[in-house]
Amino acid sequence: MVFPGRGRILSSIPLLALVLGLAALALTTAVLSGINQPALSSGDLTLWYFVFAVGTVFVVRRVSSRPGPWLSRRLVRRTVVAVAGLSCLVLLITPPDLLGGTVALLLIVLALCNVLLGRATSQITVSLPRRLDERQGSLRDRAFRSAYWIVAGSAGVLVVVSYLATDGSRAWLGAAVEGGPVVAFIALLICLPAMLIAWLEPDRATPAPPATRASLFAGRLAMTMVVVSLLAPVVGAATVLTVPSQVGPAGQYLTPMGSECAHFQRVTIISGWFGTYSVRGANVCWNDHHVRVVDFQGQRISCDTTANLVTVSTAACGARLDSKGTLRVTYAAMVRPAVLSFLSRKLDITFAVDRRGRLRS
Amino acid sequence: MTARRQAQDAEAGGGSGRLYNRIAVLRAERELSRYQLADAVGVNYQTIGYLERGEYNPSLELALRLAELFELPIEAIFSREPLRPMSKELYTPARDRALGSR
Repeated sequence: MVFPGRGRILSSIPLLALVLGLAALALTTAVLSGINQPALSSGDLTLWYFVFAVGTVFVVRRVSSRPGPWLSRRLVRRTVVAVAGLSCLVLLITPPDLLGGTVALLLIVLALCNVLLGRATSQITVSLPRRLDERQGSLRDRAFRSAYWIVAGSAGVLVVVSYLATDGSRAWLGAAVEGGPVVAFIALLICLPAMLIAWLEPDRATPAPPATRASLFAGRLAMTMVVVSLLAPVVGAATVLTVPSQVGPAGQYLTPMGSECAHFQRVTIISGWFGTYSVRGANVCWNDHHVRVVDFQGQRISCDTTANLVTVSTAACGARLDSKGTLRVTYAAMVRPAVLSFLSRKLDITFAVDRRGRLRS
Repeated sequence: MTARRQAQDAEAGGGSGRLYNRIAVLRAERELSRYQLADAVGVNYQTIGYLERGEYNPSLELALRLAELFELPIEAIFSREPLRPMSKELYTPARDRALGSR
């Protein structure tokens, strides 16, 4: 049985798109499975994500996109351009220590703006020349020419003025190559031609022709991949805030401090793509009468932390004796995912050691 | 037309000034949609809209393709001066002739 249009769909959609669609499914599965039972390491997931993101770019570039009723409107296009420009400005002027994980969020915003600008301009700036007609070709050439002068001119002026102005501006220039300014520069290099076209083009009076089933399918596939690419880091970050932590049993380890001293520690794990393996411990000495935390190689209380795409900072770190003479060691850590760094989660780790060097719950 | 406007027009179309055309009328007369005309001359459908609104001046090659498609001389489709409506082109001479014969 032959379905009408079936052969056309299968022949016109690139095989790459289908393969990447399956890869999207695999990635989603991997992310979800990694939440509770990390079958893949964080590094594997990051690699998969990178491959998927590159595949998404390929698919989006192959799909002939139409602006649609919304992006045909100049006001909407100019709003997208303004958001992209504002994101670049924030990256450019905000000191790196204040930016923190916001960089990742801004990059997602810029990526989304880039996709929208691509649709708004019918991918003129990234299409192969043979796919453009003469008007589109001349429009693209003008946009690239203008973008070149804007980027080259502004970057040149910025470098010269920063170098000549003050010590502070020279320091900013030195740090710029590693921080937000270089990200903003690269983002502008990629987006500015499309931003110029989207800003200057008039409202489109010509409605798009009815889409074929093949182009509809390809468009939906591309849009799905874009959404997955953008949402995956956000979901990964959100899992850090929501999944239950696994607290390992407190352990006692021999140290060269003497027979009545030991290192006690407890491990806390948050599994997933964005995860943390946090070890908190203390060196403790005891006799039948007293128990106390002691210095050991200058490290009274260990705050070792290993984290994947998260920041773990110690909010409180202390030890106190209760009325029974048991030492209670308490840590409070703040866990912040790299993408949604304005959100945090408190992680409490405690263990107790009595006067005979025994662990208590 | 000011020099600045002329420069803007030239920048928009790549030509040396605004070109007026009858593409919309000819297309309607032949009952062609913009997509069909765009397919026939090998351009994007939006380019036809730009041409009809006078926001883009075609290259000589595209103008010749349009002339070939409409089976008209190129000067019947494009002009550097505003074009008279086709109805006037058709009927004014006849009326003038009638008036002249009285």
